[in-house]
Amino acid sequence: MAARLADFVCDTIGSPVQHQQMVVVSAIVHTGGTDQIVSIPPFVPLFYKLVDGTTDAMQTDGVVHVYTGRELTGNQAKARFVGISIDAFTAQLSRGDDHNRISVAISGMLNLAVPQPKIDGQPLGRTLGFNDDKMRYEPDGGPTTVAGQRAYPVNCKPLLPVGAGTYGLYMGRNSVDFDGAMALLKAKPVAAAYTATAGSLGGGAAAAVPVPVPVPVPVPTAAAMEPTPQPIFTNPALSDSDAEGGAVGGIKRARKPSGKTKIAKKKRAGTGTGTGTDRGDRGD
Amino acid sequence: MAARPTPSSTIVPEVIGPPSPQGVVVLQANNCPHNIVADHAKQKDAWYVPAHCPVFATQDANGNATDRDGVFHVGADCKGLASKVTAGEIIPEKIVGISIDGLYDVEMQRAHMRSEGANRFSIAVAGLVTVASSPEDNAKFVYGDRVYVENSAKVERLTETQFLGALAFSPVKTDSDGGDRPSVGTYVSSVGPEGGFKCLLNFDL
Repeated sequence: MAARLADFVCDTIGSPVQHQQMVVVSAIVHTGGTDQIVSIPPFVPLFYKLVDGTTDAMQTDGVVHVYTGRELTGNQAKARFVGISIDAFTAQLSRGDDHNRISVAISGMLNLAVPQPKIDGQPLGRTLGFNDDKMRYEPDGGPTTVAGQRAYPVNCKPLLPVGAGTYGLYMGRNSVDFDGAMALLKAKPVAAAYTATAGSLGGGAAAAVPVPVPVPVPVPTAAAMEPTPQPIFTNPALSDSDAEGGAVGGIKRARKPSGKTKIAKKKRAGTGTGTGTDRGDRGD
Repeated sequence: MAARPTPSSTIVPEVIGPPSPQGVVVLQANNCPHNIVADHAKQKDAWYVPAHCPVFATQDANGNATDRDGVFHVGADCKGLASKVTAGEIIPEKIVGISIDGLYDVEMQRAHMRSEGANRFSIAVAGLVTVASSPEDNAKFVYGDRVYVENSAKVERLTETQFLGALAFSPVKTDSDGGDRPSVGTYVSSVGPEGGFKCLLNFDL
């Protein structure tokens, strides 16, 4: 007999601990192709959403689709685990992809939504993993509701200190009076194949995209490979006040000696009359 | 006949000027050697926690973890574990953290064991941190080796006490009885010729 919906309930987490060394990645909340509001509770595991009938994970523009994965068995959850949500979030298909991106923590010290009965007596440092348990976060409709919208059940798959997982370590409870635990999550991404979806949050995979036929590149003829003279660029904005700049592509011509230079040479030779230095007399 | 449980003969020096931790994740813990020794309230030496020393979770008589208001009890003294070991090395089952600073005022620690918060201290549970070790143990490792606790050892500063820290290390996972040794993490480099090494913590190797 399949497990019933409310296997156990996780209430609001009290006194969330400070996140430490948290590493997050972006993901898209999967809406199943309908325009209903999808709630993601804070601090719950998120999983790859697979294309129906395949083992390929859905993605849009390289961003994976995630969901709370309540129906997953323990083994399925192990194979599809992405990370932990770090806050409450709501998604809706009509908002578009950019407004339905959620940050998913994959490493660091984090809060974890776990009911007290599931962590009572658990030792410090026990490894976190998945079993077949299911969880409902907040029995009264979830942490966020939108006026005029029906509150959707927030069903989750709990990450528990089962002692057989490899996703992180149980680091104690947040508070003795509230649900919630501290988890030291390890960065251990689970590999998955990807299938691009139809560019939105829809439920189906995209239609196959035809492989583009490469356009043949024409082989240049010998005549085409002859170098053609390139025009020499001269910037009209630059003035050439002494007219010594090249009108020929910036190549300077040899300077004509000015009359002053001749006088200076005479000075050095003892034939001039001035007393100024050579540099000053040149005046350039 | 199996050898009696004996600690390592090495003496681990204090790490002077350890490098700053990198990417460290800290956790609050309660220093309480509960059920490690038969009467922990009277065993003064069991309350020591040297700096950069592995700590492990303590348990009640039924093997359950103990805590105070959700803050777990931990200890660093392996001496009391000897009574639970029949042969081989004296090591805890699992390391849960590395002390960042030391607790040496054991009289105060013991006297205030019933007080809320008096025994709390911070331990590193992830990141690159310094672990105290002997230079002889450092010579066993190269960059990237996994570090396992091989045995307990005396600490240079506490040689006059009965304290034994989980401070003798080996790159070999299997102990003399074929069991798994507790891991500390991955060896990065030694701190200096006097001992101590930098370790990327991972208690799950």
